Amino acid sequence: MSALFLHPAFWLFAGVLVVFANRRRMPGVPVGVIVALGALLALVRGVEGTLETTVAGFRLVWFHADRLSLLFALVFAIVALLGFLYGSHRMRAGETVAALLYAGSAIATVLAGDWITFFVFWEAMALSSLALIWQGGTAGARRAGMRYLLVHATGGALLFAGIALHLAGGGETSLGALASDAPPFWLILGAVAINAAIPPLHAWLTDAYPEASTSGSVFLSAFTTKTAVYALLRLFPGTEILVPLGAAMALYGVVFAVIENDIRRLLGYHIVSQVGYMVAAVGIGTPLALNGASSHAFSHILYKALLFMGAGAAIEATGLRRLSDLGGISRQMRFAVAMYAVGALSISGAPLFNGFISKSMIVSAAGEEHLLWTELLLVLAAVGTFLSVGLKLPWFAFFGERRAVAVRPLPTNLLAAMGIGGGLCLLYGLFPNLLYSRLPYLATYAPYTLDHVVSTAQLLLATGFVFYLARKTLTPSPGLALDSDWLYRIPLARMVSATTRALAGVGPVVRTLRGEAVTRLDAAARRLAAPGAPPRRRESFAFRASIGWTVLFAAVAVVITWIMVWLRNPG
Amino acid sequence: MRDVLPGLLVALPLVGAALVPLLAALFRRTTRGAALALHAAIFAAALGLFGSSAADGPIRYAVGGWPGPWGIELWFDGLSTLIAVLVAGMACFASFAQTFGADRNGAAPASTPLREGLLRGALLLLVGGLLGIVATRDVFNLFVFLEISSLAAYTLVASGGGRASVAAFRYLLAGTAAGSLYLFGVGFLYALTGTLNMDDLAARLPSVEADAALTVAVVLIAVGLSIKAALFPLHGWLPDTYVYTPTPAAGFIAAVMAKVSAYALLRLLGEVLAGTTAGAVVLEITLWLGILGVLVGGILAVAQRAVTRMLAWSSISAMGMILIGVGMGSALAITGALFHMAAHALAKGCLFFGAGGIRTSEDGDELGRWAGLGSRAPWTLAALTVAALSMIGIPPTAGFFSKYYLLSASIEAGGPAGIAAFAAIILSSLLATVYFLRVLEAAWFRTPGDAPDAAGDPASRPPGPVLPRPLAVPVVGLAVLVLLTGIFARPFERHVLPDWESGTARISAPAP
Repeated sequence: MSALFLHPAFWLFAGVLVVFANRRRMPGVPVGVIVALGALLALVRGVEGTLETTVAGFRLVWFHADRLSLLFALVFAIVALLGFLYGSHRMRAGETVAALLYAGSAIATVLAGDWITFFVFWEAMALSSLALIWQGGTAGARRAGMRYLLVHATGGALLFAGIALHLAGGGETSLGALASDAPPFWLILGAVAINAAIPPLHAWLTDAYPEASTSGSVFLSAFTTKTAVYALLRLFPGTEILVPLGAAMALYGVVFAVIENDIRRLLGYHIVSQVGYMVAAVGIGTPLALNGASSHAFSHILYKALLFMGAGAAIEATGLRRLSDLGGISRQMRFAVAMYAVGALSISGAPLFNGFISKSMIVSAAGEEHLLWTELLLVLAAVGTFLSVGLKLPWFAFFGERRAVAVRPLPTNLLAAMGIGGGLCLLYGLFPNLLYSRLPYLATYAPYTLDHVVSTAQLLLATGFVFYLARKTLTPSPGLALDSDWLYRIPLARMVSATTRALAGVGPVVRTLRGEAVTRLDAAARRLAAPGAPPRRRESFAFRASIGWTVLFAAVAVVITWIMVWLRNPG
Repeated sequence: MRDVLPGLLVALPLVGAALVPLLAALFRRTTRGAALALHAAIFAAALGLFGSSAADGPIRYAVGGWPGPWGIELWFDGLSTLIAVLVAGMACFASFAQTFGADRNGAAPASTPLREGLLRGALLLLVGGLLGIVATRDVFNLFVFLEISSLAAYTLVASGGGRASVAAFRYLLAGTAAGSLYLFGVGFLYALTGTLNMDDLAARLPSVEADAALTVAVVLIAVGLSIKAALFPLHGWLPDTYVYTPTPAAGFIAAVMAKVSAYALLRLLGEVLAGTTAGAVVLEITLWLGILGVLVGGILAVAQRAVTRMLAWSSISAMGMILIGVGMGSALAITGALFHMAAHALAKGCLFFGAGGIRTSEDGDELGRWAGLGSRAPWTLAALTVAALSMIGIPPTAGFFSKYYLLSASIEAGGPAGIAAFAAIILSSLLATVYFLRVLEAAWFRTPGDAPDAAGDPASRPPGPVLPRPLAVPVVGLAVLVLLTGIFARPFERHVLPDWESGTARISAPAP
């Protein structure tokens, strides 16, 4: 029993029961904060080990803690705590339950030691995140949720197929790196790639995350994609195809972010871009690169949650979500803007912030392996990141020309969550060994060398100068920039509705054809039996057709079977 | 025990079917208690046989003391007792639900004690027929029970009145054609071998293997049973029947009726006729039609806007999946098929009881009517959610394991059929996710009125609970069973598989 308390997800799932039982009497969030704290405490001890149970004949390793899984579980617990604190003024019981389940199943996924447990919580994560999106409560959220479901159901089916094939082929039941020549490898990689939002499979992310509530998108930004990064680290280290994919992904996300107008959609594109760094690092596969991927996931979760909190704060204060509507509100929310700036500097990889200590590790790993193009693309993506998150978004949302926008004061809990998030970003940036001492692979790295700091500073300053020159061209315009979600927003939707209509049309046609065939046969039989008799009227046509169809089918089946039997043993 | 229970299992429902209407006519009171007690006794008998056959091996029971092959024998092995438990158990829930009466929006006449007693009698008769099909070891006797169960089912379907009568007539035509084809097939077999006892038949078939009439017999039997099992493309009767049947009967018919025919198909093609080339060919065709059925059923379920009709098409998809397992015929595939029968019966029964009740209380069957039900009846909707997740195949519900076994079986089988079956099952899970989550989303995340297709404002809605108690209890009970079946999946496998593999079921006893 005491083993249960060790499992952080236990705390979150227990919280679900408490909230559900008291759903009418109290808001769920105090419970959320308390259980997230419990989960965190369970992790801080950082006990490595394995716990398993045999349920119904399956050996389920539901707690497998090594340095890799503990690192992810720890940051998941931290961000869950921040999320509940951030949203505590507005989250109702339903959203709290969804968030608890989501965070709990994400933690349980990274702590799973066998395929079945992994799959169970992977699916639970998809469903609970869907519930969280639908809690956004708007018609847009509902439709985006349906599209999200479609994509993740496909991913789940791929994963299920892959695991079934893997286990049926006598594969290990415990999680581990997969052999690359078998179909399970590609099926499971496809499933993980969907969750990691690798283009062109990424559109669910930028489609659905902006539609969740402000607190919902803080949770969403943390778990799904990073669990996928964890899965890549665990299952596919050193898979070479991930290097070009990741590098392309890093740049792809940034390009769309630069032209995006919706602030949370813009940040969503940056998730794609930042996860690109991690994917590329997993592909490089050296210990330094894998450490880079792990630590960048850790840092990314913190600063990205902080950025989404900042964007959410602007939405909370004004009710607006587009850059073209916002502007000049920084005076009324100085603290939130300052914390947003911390997040923006972190994601841009500025020295002293936590993005710097992890992103530079990946770039260095690419350099050590002489992957010139990869390194170049990643640096280019860093420029675009600073341009869009560090300069464009704050310039047009918080500063810039003042529009007649009413600004409501922000609640304390929201500011406190942002403060803690900003504090953590700085803490890890100033004392990198806090993070490095927890990294899973054997590689040492020193981020603060003169060379790193100077080159990064030059890059950021140059970008700032470019932005100053080009700020007019970058002025956002309203309108939806369609991405690869165009594929299922337009052709697929049309195809589905066309199929539905065609199916509705096919029924009568089939019935008529079937009826026609039956009537002809009927008439022919009559002519044979009684030549010259007048044809009968077509009364109760549908009923006779159904019997006739059956008889016809039986006759055809007899002939076909007879032929097949004859082919098997002629004579 | 072993000498009494087999006879009791078949006799009890048939006697009860006469007794319950009689009681209703004599005392002019509802016969709920008597009917429930009878169903519970039948269920207990089925459980007793299940335990006994598991502990001490299969039971052979000669009706009236006449041993086979001359007399009629009943045969209880792991396979038949399992289906018997399923049928008897679902019947308990259905009998409980019958207090609900016909749907409010149906054209059925108002319920009177006598009418209710008659319908309870029809349900008992249906149960008796189905248990007879499950138990009998005689191919002609199987036809008799097939007709008994069909007649009772037509009555129950038609009791809805209005469109249900038309659906019942259509079902009757299809069912009659099915019965006749089956009977022709049996006639051919009898002419060829001179016996009707299954064991005897299996022993004599090799000597007539070369006869072309054997092919005709096998195909006719298979087509007849396939119609009743709603194998694509012989499924035409199913959607209307399931949709227009009054809810209590729909929950039962949708749950077990087609499955018992699939069981008969498995028994005859997989065991009795398994040695013949024609039997092997027909199983192969069944496998391919099953694959098609899984896909067609799933796609058409997505195309539906009304919830019960969507459930009906999803049943066609599920029957396809069961018949894939039957068609593959390996031990793993049969386990998957049986498990899917159980998982689908429990989940689909739960969903039909729930959706039918909601159709009545919300005055309509469209998706929009489900808006906001999650907050009005959280426990009921939670139960329906569990059933829906099982239909999709999310662990740890029962539906996950049946799909898991079937997928493993198709990997094991390999070849084009194995690959096609694998892909079809995965794809059908995907389709099921789409059409079930659509319903769950409406129920949990919409409020009535913000849905574009929600007709009518909440004020005009009839007051009262979403599900009355006669339906709510079965819904919640079945959802709990869905979870338990999923969690205890492995013992189930251990019980059925050895029985099938060790040959007690497959190899026929020597003819006396």
